[in-house]
Amino acid sequence: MSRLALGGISKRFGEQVAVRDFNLTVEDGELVSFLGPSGCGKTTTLRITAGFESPDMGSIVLDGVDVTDLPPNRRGMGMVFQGYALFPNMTAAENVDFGLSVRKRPAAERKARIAELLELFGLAHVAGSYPHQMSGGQQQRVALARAVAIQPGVLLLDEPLSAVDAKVREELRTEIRRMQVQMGITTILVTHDQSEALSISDRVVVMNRGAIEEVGTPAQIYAEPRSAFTARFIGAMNEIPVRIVSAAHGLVERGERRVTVAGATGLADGELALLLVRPESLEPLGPTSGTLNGDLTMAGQVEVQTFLGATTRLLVREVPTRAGDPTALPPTQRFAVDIPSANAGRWPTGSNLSVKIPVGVSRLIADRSAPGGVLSSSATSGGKAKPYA
Amino acid sequence: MSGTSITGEATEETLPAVVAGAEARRSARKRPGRGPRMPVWAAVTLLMAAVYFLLPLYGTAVFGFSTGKHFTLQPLFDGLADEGFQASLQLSLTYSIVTTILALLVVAPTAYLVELRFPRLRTAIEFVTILPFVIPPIILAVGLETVFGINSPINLIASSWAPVLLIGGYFVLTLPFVFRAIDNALRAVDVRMLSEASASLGAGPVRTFLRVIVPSISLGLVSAALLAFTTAMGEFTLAALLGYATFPVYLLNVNGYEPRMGEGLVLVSFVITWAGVIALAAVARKAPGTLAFSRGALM
Amino acid sequence: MSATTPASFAGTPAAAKRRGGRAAITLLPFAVLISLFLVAPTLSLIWGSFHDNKTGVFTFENYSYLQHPLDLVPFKNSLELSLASTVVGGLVGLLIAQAIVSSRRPIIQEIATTFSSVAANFAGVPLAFAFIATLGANGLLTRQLLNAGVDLYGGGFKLYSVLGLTIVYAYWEIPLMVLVMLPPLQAMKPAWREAAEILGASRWQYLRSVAIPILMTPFISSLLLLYANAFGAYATAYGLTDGFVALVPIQISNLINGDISFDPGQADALAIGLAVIMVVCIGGRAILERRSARWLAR
Repeated sequence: MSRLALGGISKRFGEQVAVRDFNLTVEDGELVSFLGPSGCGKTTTLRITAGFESPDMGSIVLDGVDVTDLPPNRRGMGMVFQGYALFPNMTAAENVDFGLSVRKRPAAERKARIAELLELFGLAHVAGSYPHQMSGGQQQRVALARAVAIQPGVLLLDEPLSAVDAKVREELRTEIRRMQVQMGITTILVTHDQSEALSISDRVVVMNRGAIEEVGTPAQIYAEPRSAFTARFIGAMNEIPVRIVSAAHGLVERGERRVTVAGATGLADGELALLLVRPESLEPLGPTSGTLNGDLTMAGQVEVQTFLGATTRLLVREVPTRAGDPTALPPTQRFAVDIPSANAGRWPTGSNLSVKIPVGVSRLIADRSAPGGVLSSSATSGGKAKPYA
Repeated sequence: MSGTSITGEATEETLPAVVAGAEARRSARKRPGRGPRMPVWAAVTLLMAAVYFLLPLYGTAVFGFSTGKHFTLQPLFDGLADEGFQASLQLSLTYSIVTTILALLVVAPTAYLVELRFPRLRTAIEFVTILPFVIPPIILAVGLETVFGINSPINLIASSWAPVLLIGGYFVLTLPFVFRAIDNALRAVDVRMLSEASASLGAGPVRTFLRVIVPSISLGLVSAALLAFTTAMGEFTLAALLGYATFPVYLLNVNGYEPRMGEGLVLVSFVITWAGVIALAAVARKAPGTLAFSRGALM
Repeated sequence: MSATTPASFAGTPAAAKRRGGRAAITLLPFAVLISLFLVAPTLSLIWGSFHDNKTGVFTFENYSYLQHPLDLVPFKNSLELSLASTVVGGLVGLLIAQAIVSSRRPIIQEIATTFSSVAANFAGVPLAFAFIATLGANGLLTRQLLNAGVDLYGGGFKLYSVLGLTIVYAYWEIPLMVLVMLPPLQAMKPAWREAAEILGASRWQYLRSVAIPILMTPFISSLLLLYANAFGAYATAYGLTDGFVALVPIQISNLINGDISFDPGQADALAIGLAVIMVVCIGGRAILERRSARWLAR
């Protein structure tokens, strides 16, 4: 049975539409992330779920009960706020106790539960400390412990890791996932950090301008994005210009090569379009490379090598095969190729590189809204994609 | 005094926008299309407060602007034309301006050097700048009288050095405000980084202070100047006890023999306070944290 | 010289010392002004309070007022007046500050803050005269009330009584309270309330367990400021009464300026008594502020 159902939620603030027809069911024990750029409506949707905002339209059904008109304090949900919102006048233990004491649970039970939770989150040694005496990571754990202490039907996490530094963030998100699986708590996580969403979610809801762009598992969202927005928003992405020769036959042209691709329907013949390809999908061509099997190519000079760990990213300035080619990358833009770091020595800065563009894993979109060139965002840059200049 | 400046933490660039957005949403809750609702009790409270605070001003205006039954601005004109008034105002202006300049010239370099070179002196300086709160003007007046008064071997009051005594006293009285305003401004910019950057480009300490630090704390300096000026303009206790005929002292005397003119001049005094505070508010809008001050303790 | 010393300040130890010396000279004017006009008067006050001002002999005589109930009347009056104006100013000021925060209108917040700053600074002689014109024996409000059948002065009210002075002092105590309580009230995070709410707390439970405990420290600290503010005030009381009221600051001024009661030694001793009260208030405030800053840090 589904634990939580958000049906047809809409919300406007004045003239501005914050959430538009939001439909989602969350299964018992599932961790679902709302992912999107700031202002996409993910926080508003979460606050509507919690009861801090009332939707203009739609309903919130929790365990088969319509809670749309219930105030927050009667919904039995747990929430971790951006910046934690720990009560500064209470110790860690007292913060965790707050929800229990409000519920007037017997003292012995409270005591046992607090001890158990502090132990579980590795907070036993700071039980008597005040928030200002704790590190960011510790405060975050107290906020989590406080939220789950009341055994909430649904746990809501509003950018829970945005206030801790990068190293602690990775550690904590694994911990959140571990705790969530262990306790089987149905959880909604709001984040603008794609690596956070992809790494610990069962499903990801990608949001854009108040509406759901798409819903899928992290693997689906990354490998087979159904919308151009998702494709660009998640991970690093090359946007390579091609010209539509025949939309009906899916025939596109780049430089001197023509290939057939899927997804050309709806585009006009002669129009410029963009192929979206991830940097790791571009295959460097060696002198001994075999046939191209109807794939496109791209060649240029390596300008920068960026060591990323297991892989190294090459930023390459394209050298067009003929002058005035409309499908050549604009001169200010570079394309990115990820290669195993072990091979990085073969393409030092200044060397020439040709790559195969495997059309099978590429996605074709119209050029109209395109920022053009290579669109990329590193895994932790917060989802705001910036073209390489 | 509460004067903490609001400095944003260095977080991811998208974060403030998110927070601001959520903030705006929060306050706009349940009121689509219109401004947020003001609770009735808040409106009633503010209204009653406004009545209480405006009533004495109204009473002053009615008394000062009428001769028996008719409305007239004559007492105000009489007051403004009065030679005693003009002389006292001139004296107050002179003392206030000199105090302001002195305070800026002395406190700004001191606060800068303490921040940059002598961090260990900070506690001591902060203690000193709080002292004028502990030692209100009435106590300071007694102390100054003992050290520089008529019965003292260093009799400044009866000498041509008399202005120095009052200005020195005003320097002390305005110190808490002046130091706090300048110090807040200094802490809002990274003084050490700016100084090191300036030094790395070859500037000496004096040039660094004048060309880099002063421009970057200009709002704090303006705040400090306004605070010093308005405080000195309204100061009564030191002037009265040490025997200077400043404007507030004259105001007290004139009320004894010419009450209507006195009430007219009260409004002049009020206008001076208004002008000072509104100028401060304009500065404080750009540099938050400087507005919450009161001269009450120093009166 | 610490490790963070910028490169340009380094160099030979002697050069560094010379520069340090030059920097220290810059602090000299400040030190001189403070010594002359703050430290010297304070020390002479302390010295004077323990010495006979005629013979210069060490004595506790100046503090004899502590043993005579009659001599303690100014202290009793000042304590009462300060307490009354602190309670009135504190409660009304808190109410107004919360009303300003709750108004949620930026324009009202701005006007109210600016006006509070004006009112908090409209103290002293002008304020005294404004109240004489309004609530004095012939004041505007007094006459209006008389016309309406309420005889204030017939009922025993006097503007220069403790009650009257309280009303006048409230004119700057209230806005001062508004100014010092606004920042902590505004620093209350909406998320605290929401966190309490989602954990199941009612409005009252939130107030009792979270809001009131957090605000208690800045509230008490503000009251201390108001108390010190009222206790040390001289100009307003003098303007209202011409010096004919038994308050500590007035008594001090009479002792150094009066013809009959001239006694600088006792003035010094009274001033020390006043300073002790100030130290307690301002010192207590400084301690509380530190705690409050930790809780309400952004």
